[in-house]
Amino acid sequence: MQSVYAAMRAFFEEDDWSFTPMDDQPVLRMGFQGDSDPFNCFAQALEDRDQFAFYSVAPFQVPEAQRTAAIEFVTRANYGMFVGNFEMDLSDGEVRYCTSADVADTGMPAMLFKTNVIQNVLTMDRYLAALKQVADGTATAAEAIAQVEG
Amino acid sequence: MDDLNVSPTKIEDAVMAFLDGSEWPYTPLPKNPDWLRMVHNGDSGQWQCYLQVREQQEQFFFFSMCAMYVPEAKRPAVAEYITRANYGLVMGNFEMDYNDGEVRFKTYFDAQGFDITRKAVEVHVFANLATFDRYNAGLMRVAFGDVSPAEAIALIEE
Repeated sequence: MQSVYAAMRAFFEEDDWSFTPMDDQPVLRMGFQGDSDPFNCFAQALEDRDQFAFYSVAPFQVPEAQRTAAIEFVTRANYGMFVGNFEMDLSDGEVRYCTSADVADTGMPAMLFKTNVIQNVLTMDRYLAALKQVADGTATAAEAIAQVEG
Repeated sequence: MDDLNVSPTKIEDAVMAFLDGSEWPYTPLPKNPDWLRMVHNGDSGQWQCYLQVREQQEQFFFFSMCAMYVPEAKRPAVAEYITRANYGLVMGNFEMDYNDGEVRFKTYFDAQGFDITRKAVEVHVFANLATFDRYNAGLMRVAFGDVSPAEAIALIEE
């Protein structure tokens, strides 16, 4: 049976993504540029769990003084989100968006990877400028979310 | 072959096959029949769950609902607790409604372009129940006690 890594790599090749495999890890790195600032992404194969995960990483870290506001931003953004969620590393202020799929018994069609990747990068792209305002201290979490969600 | 792995079907069929097979009682919500409500007894207590099928979007969601609403004064602490819990969780995430303090844990499956099996439903439901059960007591300690989010998470993850 095809490995999760082989299936995800085949998807990114066939979908014409430019990516860099990481040494010694079942991870592919790539960049994305949408309407907001460019950001890095990585795709990860978790073979022992039959899972695929995709992350978009904000191109800045939230300073310590703004992390409480960023927690509120991430929490407000996550509520009611259908596919995926924001997460933040409170030790360094890194914010990323995670989508994942359990691939067992799916046959790992390209569409499984595509929906998780596309919805992921579009969500990060949509919220990134607002998150930056919170990280810079120029908007409260509630104000920033209102700008995105109306 | 394990009979859970065969007969891929539409999401609703897969959900019903799982529910009927598990003999888990459920109630469709009167105003929203795409949502089913059920109750689970875990090690950390009893809680309500909701299963939602968005057939048109080919998506399935399962939620474990915190039994209590978080008081307004404690919402920032609970937001930190669930942020700490979410970091590194590959399958599923906690979310909180800042407006009323509702906390829930979500797992989902996006099956656009292929069929979902009963086993996939089972995996997402059981992973959800197990993760919620693991973090539920810590959530209560933060929301209704004097334990800090960092301490509550350390008690669970270390």
